[in-house]
Amino acid sequence: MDMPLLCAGFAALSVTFYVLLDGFDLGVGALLLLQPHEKSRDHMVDSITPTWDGNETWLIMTGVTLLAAFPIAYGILMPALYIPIIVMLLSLGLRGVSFEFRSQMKFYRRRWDVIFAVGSIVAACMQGLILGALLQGVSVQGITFSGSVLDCIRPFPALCAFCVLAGYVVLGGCWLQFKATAQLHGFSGRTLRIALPLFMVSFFAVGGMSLFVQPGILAAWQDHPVLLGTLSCIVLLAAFILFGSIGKRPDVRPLIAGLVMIAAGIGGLAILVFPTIVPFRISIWDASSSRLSQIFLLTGAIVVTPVVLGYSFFAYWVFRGKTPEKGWDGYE
Amino acid sequence: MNLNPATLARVQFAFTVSFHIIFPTMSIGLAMFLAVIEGLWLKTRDGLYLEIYRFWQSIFAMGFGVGVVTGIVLSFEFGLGFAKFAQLAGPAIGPMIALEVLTSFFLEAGFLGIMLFGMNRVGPKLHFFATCMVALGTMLSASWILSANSWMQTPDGVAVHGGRLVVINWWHVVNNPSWLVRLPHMLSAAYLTASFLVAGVGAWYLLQGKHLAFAKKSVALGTAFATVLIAGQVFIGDILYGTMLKHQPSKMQAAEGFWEKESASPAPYYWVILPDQKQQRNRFALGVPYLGSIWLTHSLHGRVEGLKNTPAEQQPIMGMVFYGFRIMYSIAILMFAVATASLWLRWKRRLFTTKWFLRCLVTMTPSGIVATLGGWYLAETGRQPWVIFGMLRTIDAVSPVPAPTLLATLIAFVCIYAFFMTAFLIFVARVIRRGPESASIHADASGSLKNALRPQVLDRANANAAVGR
Amino acid sequence: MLKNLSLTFAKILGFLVPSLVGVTFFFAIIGVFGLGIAVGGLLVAVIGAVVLVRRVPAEGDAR
Repeated sequence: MDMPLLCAGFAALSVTFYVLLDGFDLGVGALLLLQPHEKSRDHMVDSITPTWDGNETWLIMTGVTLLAAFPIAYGILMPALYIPIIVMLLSLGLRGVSFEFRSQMKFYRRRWDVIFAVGSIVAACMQGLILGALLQGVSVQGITFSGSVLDCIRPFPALCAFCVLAGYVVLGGCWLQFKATAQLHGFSGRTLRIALPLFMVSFFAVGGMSLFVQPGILAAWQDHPVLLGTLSCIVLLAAFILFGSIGKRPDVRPLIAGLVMIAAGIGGLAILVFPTIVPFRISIWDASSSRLSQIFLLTGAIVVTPVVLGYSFFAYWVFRGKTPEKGWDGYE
Repeated sequence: MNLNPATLARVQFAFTVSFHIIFPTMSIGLAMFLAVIEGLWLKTRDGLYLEIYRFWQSIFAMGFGVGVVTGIVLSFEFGLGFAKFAQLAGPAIGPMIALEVLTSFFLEAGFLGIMLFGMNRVGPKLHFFATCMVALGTMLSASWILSANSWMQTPDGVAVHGGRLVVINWWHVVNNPSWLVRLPHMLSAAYLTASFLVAGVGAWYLLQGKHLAFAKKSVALGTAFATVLIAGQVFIGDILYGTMLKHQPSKMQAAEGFWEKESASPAPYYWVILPDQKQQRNRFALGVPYLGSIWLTHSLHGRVEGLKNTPAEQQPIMGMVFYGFRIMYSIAILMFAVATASLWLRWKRRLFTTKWFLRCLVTMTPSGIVATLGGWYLAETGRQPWVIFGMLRTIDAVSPVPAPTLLATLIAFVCIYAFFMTAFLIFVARVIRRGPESASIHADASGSLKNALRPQVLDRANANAAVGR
Repeated sequence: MLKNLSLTFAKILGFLVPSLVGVTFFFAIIGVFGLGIAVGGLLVAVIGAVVLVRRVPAEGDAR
């Protein structure tokens, strides 16, 4: 059994869960800044209240999987992405604390809202920066990172940062379409009509620019033209369906289209990068830790992941339907 | 202190991990305390126990949250500051840390929600089971982390092939020589921390003359647990001392403040020293005669081994190791004294009215935290200059990140963590000011997966869904 | 005056005796007298504490 392959699969799954589950609540957080009405802002936060922080589980799972299964990659990527990772961790932490305090100190609520929003935006941008830096390729000498910590602050990663932020805003808008009522419903529709084209443009800009920035990507396109082409079409198709279903029934259609769109994008990224784990530099087999370690990790993962997924599903199911305008506590 | 990358990386990790350890220590202790309290509530049906449960539950929840946030940072920081260590040790400690993460998620996903928010929604037996599972979960998480750290102290079960670590025997990796002695020591430390937190708050209320029933029960329970625990803890500490003497002699040599290969006989027990690492001597030393031989060699005239037994380039910094140890040990002695005093006052039926003792308890409220920090400083600085003892030096493990970047992020960490701590302390102060009668039946924590089970929230959700979509 | 003296004496004794006993226990527990006595001291301390706490209810329990 190819342990490195299985572990890489688990890591990919982890990242996918994270992006799909945390993406929309980062998006909703970002959108808080665009929403002038207090009651609507409360409504927005209420829509993500029940489920937002369980999603960060998958981010940690990805990091720890790297440490346990691909420590060589972990030891190269952490210093390479030092600045965006730390900024992201701190902004996620601030998000968490501001969320707690938002519900404790009602009179400072607006300030906490801003902190929550800024934290969400910064975290999203950092994730995009990380993606861009990975695609751009980190400088490696042997198994040591040999570049500068400022390598990730360049045009291509910056474009990726914008793209990811736009993507999360799209997901956030879709989530609000699904969960919100009245004024907020209209707001999310208007936002989507602007955010989705912005995302599509930046997505294709990133795709195009990547061919020049990273020769490995050009090679990947040449190796898997059909697969990548199909995925790109799925992204486009999903975007069109999304656009067409804004403001119409059923409310869940934009969200499903949005999730499919992003998932297809992630799938494409995985194909571009495979079989390297330090993208275009080091393969998963060269970066692997010992076999016993990977077996140990996967065993634990197989046991616990279904439970975590099951409970998450339960939580989403409990809070199915529209978010009540008066909030979950009934005393807004 | 020069600001080179190695020093900055160390300072940054030391800061984040010291900050972090405060919260899991409280969480492990309070979780066990809550389980005991709920058990007492179910057995006696005395409403006072329920009040105590509710009061400490919200503090537990908030502390747990801060612990999670700061813990997330740590799981990335191994690589951020010490990439070469992560690359080498990943095969050994990676799976253990992964298991700790998985255990926490398991417990958080499954039982924490029920424990914090399910009081009226689920049957009392299920709720108690949930609380017990949370207590167990925190213990399990701690044991995984402690196994990983113990492996760094006393590595086993691996071989080096081509510069990479290969795990030969998993059981030896996990059950390395120091794990099973350090684990009960850390767990006891957590339980002692909780005992003194509880007793201290109770003593505070007694001195203020408020919430008397709650206060008295708190002081009684806190001191009772502390008494039983401190006896065991001192004993475990002594056993651990012997274990570390065998496996990490340099640490214990530094810990006692002796430089010469063989100390004078009889050896004093030093309490204050001004060590000079360069000159390999103490510029000043204050100690109790004979006590060194008695405590350290269990004889009246035994000689103690000094740090010169270790080659200079493998020596830890004596000052840090010594004072980490002394702080922990002094507080242990204080705890023992307080425990003995509490027994005596209990016998004399003056436990709740002896003002000097109550003031003592209030001062000792954070004693568990301080002692735990001291102990961890002993453990970690004593292992230096190794990050994996005998295998990898800390300075060889540092990431290729420039000093200005490290300094900038260190400053960012300090500022933001200060914010977290302030938020936490404000929250706790509020809970204490409001008193136990105002403690809500469910934890005051915020939006989260755990929040999904808050009764008013659940009711609304069900009503909402019933209206139909 | 004699009564005061004996009262003070009683107080001092009440302070000294537990201190000495405590110190002895401490030495026993940290194994200074040998492993056997250490384990024994630990058992005495823990069992004694448990018994004492259970048998002697702290006063004025307003319940």
